[in-house]
Amino acid sequence: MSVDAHAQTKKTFRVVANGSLPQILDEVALASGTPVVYSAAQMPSEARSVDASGTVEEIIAQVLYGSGLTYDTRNDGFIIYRLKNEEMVTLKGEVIDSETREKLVGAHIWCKNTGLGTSTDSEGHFELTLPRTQQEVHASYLGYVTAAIPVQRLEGQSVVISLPRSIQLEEVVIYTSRYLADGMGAGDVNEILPGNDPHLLGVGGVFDLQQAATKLPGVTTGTDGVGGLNVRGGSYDQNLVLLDGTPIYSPTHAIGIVSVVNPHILNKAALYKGAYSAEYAGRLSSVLDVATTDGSLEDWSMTGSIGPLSVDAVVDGPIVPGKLSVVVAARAFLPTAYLRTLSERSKDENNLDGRTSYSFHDFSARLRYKASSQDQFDINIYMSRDEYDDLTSQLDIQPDIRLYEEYDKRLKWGNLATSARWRRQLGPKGSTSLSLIYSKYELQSLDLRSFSETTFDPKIRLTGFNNLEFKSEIEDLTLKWDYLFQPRKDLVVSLGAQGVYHTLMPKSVGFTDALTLEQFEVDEATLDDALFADLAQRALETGMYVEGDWAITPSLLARVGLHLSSFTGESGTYINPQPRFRLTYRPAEFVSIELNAGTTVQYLHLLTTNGIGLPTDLWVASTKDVMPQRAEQVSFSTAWSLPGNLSLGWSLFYKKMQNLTMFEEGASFLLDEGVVESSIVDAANWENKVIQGEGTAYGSEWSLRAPISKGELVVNYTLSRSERQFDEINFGNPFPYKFDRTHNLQLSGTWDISKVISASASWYYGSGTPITLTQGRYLYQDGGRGLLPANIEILEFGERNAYRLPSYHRLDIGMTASWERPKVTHAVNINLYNVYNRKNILHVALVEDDNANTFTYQQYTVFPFIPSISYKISL
Amino acid sequence: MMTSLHQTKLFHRVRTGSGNLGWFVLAAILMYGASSCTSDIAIEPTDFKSKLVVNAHISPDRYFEVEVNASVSALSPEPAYIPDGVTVMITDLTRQSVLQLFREDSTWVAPQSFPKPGHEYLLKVMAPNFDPVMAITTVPESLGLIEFNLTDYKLLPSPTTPQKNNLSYTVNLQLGSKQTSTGFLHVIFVQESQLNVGSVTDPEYEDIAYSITPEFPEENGYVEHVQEGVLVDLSKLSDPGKLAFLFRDYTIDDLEQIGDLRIEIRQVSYEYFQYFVSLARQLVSRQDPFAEPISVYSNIDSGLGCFSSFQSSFVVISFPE
Repeated sequence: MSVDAHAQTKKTFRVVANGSLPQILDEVALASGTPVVYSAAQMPSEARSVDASGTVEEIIAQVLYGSGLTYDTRNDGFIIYRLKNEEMVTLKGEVIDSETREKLVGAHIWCKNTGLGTSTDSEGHFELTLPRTQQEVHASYLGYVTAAIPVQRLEGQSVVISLPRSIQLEEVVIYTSRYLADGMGAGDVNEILPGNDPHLLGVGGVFDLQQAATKLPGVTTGTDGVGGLNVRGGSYDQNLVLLDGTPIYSPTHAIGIVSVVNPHILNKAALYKGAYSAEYAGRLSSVLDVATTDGSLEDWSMTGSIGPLSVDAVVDGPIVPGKLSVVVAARAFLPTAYLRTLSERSKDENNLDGRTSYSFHDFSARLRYKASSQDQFDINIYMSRDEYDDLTSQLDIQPDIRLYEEYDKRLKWGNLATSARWRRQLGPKGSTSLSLIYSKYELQSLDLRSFSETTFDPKIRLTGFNNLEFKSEIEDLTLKWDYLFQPRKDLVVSLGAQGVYHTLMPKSVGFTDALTLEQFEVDEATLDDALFADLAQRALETGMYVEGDWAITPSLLARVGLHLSSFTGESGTYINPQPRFRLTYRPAEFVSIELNAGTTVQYLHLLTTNGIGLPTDLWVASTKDVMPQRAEQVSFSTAWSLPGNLSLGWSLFYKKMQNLTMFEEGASFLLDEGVVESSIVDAANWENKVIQGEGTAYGSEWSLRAPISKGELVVNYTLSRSERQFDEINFGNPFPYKFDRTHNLQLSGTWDISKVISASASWYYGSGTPITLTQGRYLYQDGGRGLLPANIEILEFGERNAYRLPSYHRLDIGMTASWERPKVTHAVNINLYNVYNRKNILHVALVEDDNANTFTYQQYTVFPFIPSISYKISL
Repeated sequence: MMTSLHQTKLFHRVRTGSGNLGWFVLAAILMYGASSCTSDIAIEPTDFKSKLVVNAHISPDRYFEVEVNASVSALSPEPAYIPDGVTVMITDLTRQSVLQLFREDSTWVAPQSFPKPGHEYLLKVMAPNFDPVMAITTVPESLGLIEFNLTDYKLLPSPTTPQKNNLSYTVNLQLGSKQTSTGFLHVIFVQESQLNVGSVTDPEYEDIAYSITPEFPEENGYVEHVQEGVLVDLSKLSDPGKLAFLFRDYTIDDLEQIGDLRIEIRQVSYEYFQYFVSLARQLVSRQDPFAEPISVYSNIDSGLGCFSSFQSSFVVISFPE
């Protein structure tokens, strides 16, 4: 160790030192002649480097930076001590460039009085624990204005600190998360943060990422969320859902109502709706980039909640303080037993035995190892599982025969996502990361029918069974490298490369069946996995990107990027350059104007017969005949920050999609009593049963946030149109997309009634979804020639999706009480969903009443009025 | 036609599918909280107009029959009906001759020999209060030389069940040069058999025949007909002249003696193929409540239904003793 401490004046020193903290403090005391008192037991043992100058107090503050220690002055000396936990408050957030909105990597957040501080990580995030008594922290970054921020403005919420470059002499603007600078909710990016934002609560008054995303401008969904996210006229398979960088193929539980992301581990999520950064590729319409919490390196905490749908718990804390943290979360579907009882009763009413059960659960764990101030390692494991089982049996005894039938339908599906990531901070102007990712989505189903038929005279017993099993899997192994650096003050460059090895098992159908006399032999042998393995489809998808953010002038910023992707399957290689462009102009502090344009390419296709996002949908890869999907999109957006904290956003977008893929009419893998065997799709023949066409989407999005007395008002409105055109459908004429909603409106208000109680009300309106209406009926008589069963009734349909169902609307009211006790925070939410019990339509069918011989259209409703209560506790 | 047990089993192979499991999951979720409910919704189809429905699939070796009925509104309590005052005219455009058909029960008929191979026919149907409808079809020529053989023939005792045998074989057809005249086939398989309806000691055999449905190679040209046989789009096969049909593990018992396999190969018109394919697909899609509805093909101008034609050839295959 060498210490060079010398007095330039009586008050100013410069210290350059290497060594342990006690050693450095001793040298500071020696050089300055000022007593320094500390407890050796509280001192960290690792060595550190210090190059500090200033008064002795300033030097001590810098020496203690990041150590978790603070000081007091006593009789011209200094007392160094560690803060007690209960006196501490943790601040979280991120630091961004106020112009480019790029995350600033390596920015310093520090408290001048205590010397406590930290740096933003490679994602621009920071977390800083401070004494509650401190009034102010500073945020600084080389070349930027240093911000002084009152602690009280940061406490209790994740914040964004937007720093202007030092040449601009602008004020630092602190955006709380909901006022994120990025278009203020109306641009091409929407940020979703967890917590108790009443504007985003879903069924049961519980925050859910999936349901929150459907409330954003430009996003449509089916009734009550059934149908997934459809972003700017795209379909739900065109969303790249990344969980800590790992793609999730089935991002929802159940039928799209519940996100697979446990809300208590969600740090933040960003929905990129437009020409997103060149870093992202692989999907046509959007990227939902979900980041989970890092895990505290300082304190243990626990959160648990119980609501009408699920119960969950999260544990978070340091395994090795300051070095290694862990976050473990688990969640399970709650009303399984209730559902089973309900189904038993329902079957009993229909003279059947059996029950239906459904459940889901998910689990995640994250290890974070902070090897040094520059290096961090993360290991993430995520698993989700949905299970459905329906068992039905029926005994029918006639005078001459006894028939027993049993049906057992089982369905399991789930995601597995694991990743290991190394991130390195390359000084204040650069960072790099390397990720190894494995993800898998799998579906298994078993459909077993067995029967026993006994005739009494002559006494013959006939038994048999059919057993059908199929699987669908997609497995990805990914290696990804990213690098970000700032070669000049006005230029940030990011580049990277990745390779994904896909293994897809589109679908396989296999049978075992038998028929026996006298002896009932049930051989429930399932198909050998080897049979499925032979049908796998393998492909390598690679990508390289480079992107620059250039401040042409202080108010004019350009982002230019290129993602070059390739896809090599068994039938050839595709290479696609995907340019991305963004121009941002800020003529004044309160307004920004943005123009986006870009191309996206998607090599994977989701085949579905119904388009509402059922787990039995089928992922397949592009082949020689099935071309990759491609989209070009342009968008224009502007955001205004008006007096009185009023913020307004407006966007226009136009998107053209090509090579959209779907099954040809009638092809299906969901046969129950199928007539057409060849329509069953499996791994060997899916390619011949798909058609490709085009899509067009355009629209305008509006967003308004306005403070009202003790609360806030939010208005989101989208006016849009989405169409499809396939030569083989609707006589080649364009038709509305299934989830096309002309108008989509959310009105939401929140009020803080007291420090403990807050209330909210939200009203949603959406134009009716388009359906194809059954207009008439006629007969195929067949005159006894035996070609067909006599008098088949054929349905006559109108044009595809030409009829609009009644509009969707509902009102939700909620009230939340949250209060703190020492070390414990409680929150209770009472929610009234669909207050006026609007019967919003999920589906319409033409139903015949056999007794009255009449036909009626019957509507199926999802969620009527639902009162609920949920409880959350945080330790 | 008698239905045998193994026939039932064979059809189970088709009819026991994966079972709309997605829909069942949905139903399960909806049951939660008793939140799923149904009710009537008032929807009135706005532009419905009743049309004449005509169905006729003519062949030189069949009775010329035309079915006529009228479509009704989806919400109408009445079934589709045969309108009064129907007139059916058929014109042989090749020979420029016109014939008015006469009604026999619920159909309009013409002499059996009326359709001629290669001739083009115009069907016109009129009825009071309906727009007149018409359609055209050209009767296909008969197929050229058909070569056929039986391969992969196996008759083995069932490994699991006593008194049972598993029969497997492949039927290969090589079509003649005229097979491309329409490019579409309808192939029907009828199995002849003798079934012991007496006892083991005192057997009494009864001749029966029943339709069977094969499996086929995974090529897109094969579509199963609604009721019997297979529709084939030859243009989608790798070798349009060569067809293969697989019969695997077809279970027969010791009480049955398999006879000949009769194969009817219909060369069908484009309209015939499109109509039955789309009809089959509509029937399938109607089982999935969320599936996009499928319209049934029609070539009837201003009406519904199908006027099509076909020409049959026959092949008989005997099994090895």
